[in-house]
Amino acid sequence: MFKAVLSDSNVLKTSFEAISSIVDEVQMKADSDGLRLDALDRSHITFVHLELKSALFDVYSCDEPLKINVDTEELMKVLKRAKSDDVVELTVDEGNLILTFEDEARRTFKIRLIDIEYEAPSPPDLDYPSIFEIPFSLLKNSIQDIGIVSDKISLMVDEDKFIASAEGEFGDAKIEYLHGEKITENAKSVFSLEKIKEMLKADRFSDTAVLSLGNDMPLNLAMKMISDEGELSFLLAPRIESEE
Amino acid sequence: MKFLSEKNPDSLRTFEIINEGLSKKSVIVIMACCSVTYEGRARSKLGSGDRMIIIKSDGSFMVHQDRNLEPVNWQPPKSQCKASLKDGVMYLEGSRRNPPERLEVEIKSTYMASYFNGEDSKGLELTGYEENMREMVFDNPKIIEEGFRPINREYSTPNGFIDILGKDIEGNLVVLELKSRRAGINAVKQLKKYMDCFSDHKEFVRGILVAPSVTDDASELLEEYKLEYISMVPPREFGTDKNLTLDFFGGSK
Repeated sequence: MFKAVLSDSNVLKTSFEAISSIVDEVQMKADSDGLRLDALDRSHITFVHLELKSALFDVYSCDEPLKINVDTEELMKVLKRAKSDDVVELTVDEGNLILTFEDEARRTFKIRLIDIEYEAPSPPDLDYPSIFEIPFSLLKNSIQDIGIVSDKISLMVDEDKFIASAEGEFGDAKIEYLHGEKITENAKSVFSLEKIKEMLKADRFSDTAVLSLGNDMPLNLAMKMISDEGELSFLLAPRIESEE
Repeated sequence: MKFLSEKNPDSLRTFEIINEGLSKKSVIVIMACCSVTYEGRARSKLGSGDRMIIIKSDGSFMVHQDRNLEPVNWQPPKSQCKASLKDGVMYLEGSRRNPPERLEVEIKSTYMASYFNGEDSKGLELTGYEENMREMVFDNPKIIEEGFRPINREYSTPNGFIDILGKDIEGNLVVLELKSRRAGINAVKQLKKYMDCFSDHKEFVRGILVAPSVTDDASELLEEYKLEYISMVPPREFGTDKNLTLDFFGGSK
């Protein structure tokens, strides 16, 4: 039997805001440690990883490992109906994922499970020269600033600063932030703004984001809950000027 | 399983294969003798005949006859597709709630039923269009003329959007209308309409039609309206700016 109760519906809601814009279907794995999910978008550009440990839930039980395959759009439609002070309960019956929201009334939604043959993608194992922390809101604002001039964003880090910048046809934009961390190696990669925007829809997961950057390397964006009970992370392949 | 196909399945087996395909979010292809009815924004009815029925993973639903590029009946992506069996007869339905519409296929006999779960991570790359010409001009404004400077794209006027608005070396406003194929009088008229929007502009405004070639009557009309023409062939090369995939860095599925 699987049952998970969460008093804060925002964790699921904000995670799936991002996940549903990246992948159409997803497999969640539940076992006694908690819930986890690994997914790769159709174009193989973005990888997303979500982990919610059993300790995060108010009630959590899972007797045997379980795979829950769902259409992310259907799940998001239901999660959108959750109010922030609703208690959310997840259970599974024959062929359905059941979500219950409880406040003054008990509202139950059933989402049909899908029968996809799903091989969990494994992300590339990368060594990053530069890893640092920035406020999530700074990242989100930078993306909006850059959006005025371009659909690409260059992310750069040096000893002192984290710099987000773009050159557009009619103007440039640059955001500089003193990161106050020990960075010994400069790094710079360029990314699609649209793809970053998808990841940043998860804007209520954590106040800080840990960025790992390299030169023409994928961006690793990780958000951890303070108590270490949950993690949402993304890997995004860079854009490059190819020689072909 | 990536692919399953069966010849001459009976209606129960066809029903099973379609349901399996639907729950796996597969691309389903059925060759069958069927009749089709549609009800929604209008109504349509297609008598019995041999057809190919395709349901894609995104809910696109098409019925193809043995001719024409376009399906004879179809429902767009995100339609709800459902199979049912009534008194031994197999029905396939694609419906939407908004707008309310419903396509129903009655399958009389099936010649082939299949489903397929392929992997396809690539999108189409296109070149040779006005958009590619526009990028070429922005990257290298000199190809219009020495000193040309683009200042706006998709500039909005009451008569539509100007492809590129720029200034020449003397500071005159220049309106560029781009065409990727041989331009006729309609292209010239379109440019003239944009020029009319600047009729109360104090300084002189130039209008240039940019195309691989122009027809004779278009050439005469350009002269009459005192507009210019620059010959330019749209680029055929693909862009060099690419988004890498995670596979490139050793990710796997």
